[in-house]
Amino acid sequence: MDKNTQLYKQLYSIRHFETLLLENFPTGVFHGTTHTSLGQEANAVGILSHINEDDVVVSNHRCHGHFLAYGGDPAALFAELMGKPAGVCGGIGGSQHLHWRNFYSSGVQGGTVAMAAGMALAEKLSGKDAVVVDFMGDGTLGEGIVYECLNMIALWDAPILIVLEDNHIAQTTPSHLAIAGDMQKRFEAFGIPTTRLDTSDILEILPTASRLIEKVRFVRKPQALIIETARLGTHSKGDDTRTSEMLTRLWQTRDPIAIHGARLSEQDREAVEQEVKEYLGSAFQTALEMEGGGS
Amino acid sequence: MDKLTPIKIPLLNTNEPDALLVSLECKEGAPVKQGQVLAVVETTKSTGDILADKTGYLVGLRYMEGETLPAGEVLAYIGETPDAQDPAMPPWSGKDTLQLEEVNQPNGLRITTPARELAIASGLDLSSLPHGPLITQQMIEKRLSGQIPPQPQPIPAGEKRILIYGAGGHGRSLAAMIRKLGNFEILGFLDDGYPSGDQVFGLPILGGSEKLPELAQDGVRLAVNGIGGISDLQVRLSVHDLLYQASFFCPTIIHPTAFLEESASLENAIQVFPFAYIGTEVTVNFGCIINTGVIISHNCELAPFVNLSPGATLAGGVTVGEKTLIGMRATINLNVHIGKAARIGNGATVKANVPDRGVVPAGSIWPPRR
Amino acid sequence: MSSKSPVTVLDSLNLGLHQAMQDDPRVILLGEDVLDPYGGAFKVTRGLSSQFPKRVLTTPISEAGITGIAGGMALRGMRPVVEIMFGDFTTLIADQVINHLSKFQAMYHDRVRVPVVIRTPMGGRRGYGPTHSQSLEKFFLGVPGLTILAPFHIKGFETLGTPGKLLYDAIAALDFPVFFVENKTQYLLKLMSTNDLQEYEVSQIETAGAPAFPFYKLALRSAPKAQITLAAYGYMAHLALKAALRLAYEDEIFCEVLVPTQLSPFELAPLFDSVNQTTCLLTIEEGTLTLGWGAEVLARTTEVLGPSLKVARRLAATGAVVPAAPDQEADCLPGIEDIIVRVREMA
Repeated sequence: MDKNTQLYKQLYSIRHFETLLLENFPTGVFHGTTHTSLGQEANAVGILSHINEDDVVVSNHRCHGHFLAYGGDPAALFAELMGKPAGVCGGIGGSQHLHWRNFYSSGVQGGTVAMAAGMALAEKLSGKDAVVVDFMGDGTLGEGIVYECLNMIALWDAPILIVLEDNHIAQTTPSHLAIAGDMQKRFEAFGIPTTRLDTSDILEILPTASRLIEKVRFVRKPQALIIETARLGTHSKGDDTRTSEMLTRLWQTRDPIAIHGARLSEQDREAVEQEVKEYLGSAFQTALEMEGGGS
Repeated sequence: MDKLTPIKIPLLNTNEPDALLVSLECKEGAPVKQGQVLAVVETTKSTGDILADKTGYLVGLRYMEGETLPAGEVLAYIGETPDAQDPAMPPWSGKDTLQLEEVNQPNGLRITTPARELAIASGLDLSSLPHGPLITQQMIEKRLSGQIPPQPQPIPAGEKRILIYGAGGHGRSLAAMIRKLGNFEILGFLDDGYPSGDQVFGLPILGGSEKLPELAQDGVRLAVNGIGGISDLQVRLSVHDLLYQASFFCPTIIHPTAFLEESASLENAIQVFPFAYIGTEVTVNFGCIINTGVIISHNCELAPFVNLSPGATLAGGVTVGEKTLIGMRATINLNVHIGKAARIGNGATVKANVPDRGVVPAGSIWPPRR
Repeated sequence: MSSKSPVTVLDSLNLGLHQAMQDDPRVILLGEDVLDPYGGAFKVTRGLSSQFPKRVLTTPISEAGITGIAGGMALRGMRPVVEIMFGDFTTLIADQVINHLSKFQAMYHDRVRVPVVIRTPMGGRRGYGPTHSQSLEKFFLGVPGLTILAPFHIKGFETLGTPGKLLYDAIAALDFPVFFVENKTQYLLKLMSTNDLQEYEVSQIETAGAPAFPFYKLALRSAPKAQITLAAYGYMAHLALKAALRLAYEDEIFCEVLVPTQLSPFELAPLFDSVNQTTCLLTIEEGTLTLGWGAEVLARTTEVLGPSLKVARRLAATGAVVPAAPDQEADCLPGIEDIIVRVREMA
């Protein structure tokens, strides 16, 4: 499989997983809440294509894409969302609180930045060359602890790449109502070099991600990457106050799957999609048949 | 009671009665071997090790690292089991004053304010009260109401029944002495370590300390302290407290072969064994033991609870502080003063003053040659 | 570095920290103003930055940040100790403690460990005023996944002294988050040795928890049986002992003082045993009354003992804030006199 097809498969896997999730939520097979990564798949795949086994990934409430791109097992994730003991965290963490290998996610805005900062410092003090990648959102910039940690990350040279996925909206609040001044300057105020990307195209994300991760790994100093992106789905379920015109426009212009899929032939695309559908369909079935997870 | 061997704190330095406990090498309950280093102590001039002189378990540890140890005091015991009981009550510090910031206490006495006020108001002599237990108003009331009369007080004429508390070697020697004297009727022994009903030395074991009130009720008023207290003085002292609390009186027992000069004065509860000599103008205070063959020359003064072992020899004018033990055939020179709670080893020759809690090793000459 | 034998609680804690850092290279200390020669606002960390320069981090004034960072460090194998300069500032770390540190192990399905110790001095009596004098540990009691410890100023058989040993164990031997509650006035207390405790019969009872932390019982030696149980921890235990002595000697009211070192999770079996005998309980704390430590102790004691518990009361701080003026502060925070008055009412 060539590189583009491989990438499409990864992107589409996340897309289809989230789609299955949203489709099946009304049936009651899934419990609690969830925050899908629709529209932001390229960020996850783009960045996590460049990490090593020893690197650490920290994510937030919108973590499925990151988890799957990291290599997490979809069946285990389905099971976790179904509340089953065989799920990623035994059904205890649910959608927002996942941990597998060196992947950690948690649901309190800003708190994960501190966790990631501490992890990066620990990796540094242990003398390894591991990198910590932390995913946050534009809404996270409201939390004071973020600034406390940016300060310490810069002060102590934490080997961390902070990826801010700016989808211009935090739950139902557009960023212009929540963020004063300049996002990039916030990082730069602490002396953290910041790169800005405005794209939903994986092929544009990949080289930047690669460069930045290598820099962190070898220079052992922090970097920030702001990716302007689009959240194509609701915040969780049913909570989206954007107009249908706006959403339509976003779907038409900022869909990473469509953008990258266009590079494949229709035949190849459909083959990949079919393969993914079967694979995930089977994962879903497996999860359904696992024990436990009473309603 | 478990057999416990006390470990005494040595006197490292003549001029320094205290040593710093630098480190403890064992914990409470730990097994120890004979010769094992138990602790390291130091003074301004030297360091020393305290060794275990037998194999067993370290129990009853009374001090901790960083604390100051008074020479002559018990540091800990070696017991036969890891949980052997420390027979003594709290650490015997030898201090007379209890430092309590919140409460003003007369020397060494633990007494509540209501009790003290009542005692003073009623003219009760505070020094007649036992040290150790906390004295409450109720206890003073009992004493005043006659339930526990203070000592000394007249024994009813003709009351001859006497108890011996402690059926060990010392108690039995007392039994023999009293029999020889013929002026008392020995009812039997009280001993917490023997089953009651047993016969020892031809006399019944009446029970333990719990029997005292019953016997007192019955009109028995006399007792002698059959605890020698060589290894642990505190036990002997607690028996005195017990007897006192139960309103028993300890007469002074003097063997017919002992010789007392007329001008010698003796307090109560003293025991004078065969062939002892007490010289002219000697004062012997409450609770002393003058053992077989002891020689106390003229003008000596013994404070309460001094124990002179068989053959101990005091030259004239010797003063001995309270609770001191002088070993067998030890010789104390003219006019020497020995402090309180000191221990003079067997056969030692003491030519100069010994400080409080001083320990003079057996067979040695004091002061030691440099 | 302090002398080999600790004299005060402060010495003991300092020694415990030194020993922990010495014994385990994964131990790292974060706090504000902790570098030598200053050595921390209350000097508890004195000497550490000189001895272990790479493992003592002086931080910006970012309590939440440093607590969160400690959590991240712990997840990746380090054993962080966080100093929060004043206990009053623990409100700033509440999210990190409650939603992060104490939840990681459970929510990640037992696959991680969070060996973080957060230590902080609570308490007033220094005239520092309303926001620098509180005892806020009550807000963290009962948080699942969080252990809360408070040292007692007894030397015990520990070379480090029991406060230092407790801290050492919290850092070196426990793999879950600990909130270590110190007290500004307690720092200066001399560790009680056997000589200092001559008036008391001291028992150290191991609780049922795993691991078990000591629970101390102090009764007056050779005195009538206790008729009331006083329960107190930390600095208040010192005041309770003083009060118990005065109550015995002045009023002939005999108390036994029960001092836990583990505040949360609650392990109160030794207390229940005592109250079962005395039937009378007074809890004494420096925090405020409502929903405080005493409230939980009374609730549990009632549940376990039922009608055997005849009289139960709590003594705690009163007033809206802890005033700075010494006399007003003394009125607000429970003192020896307050304890005595309350016990007299109950007896």
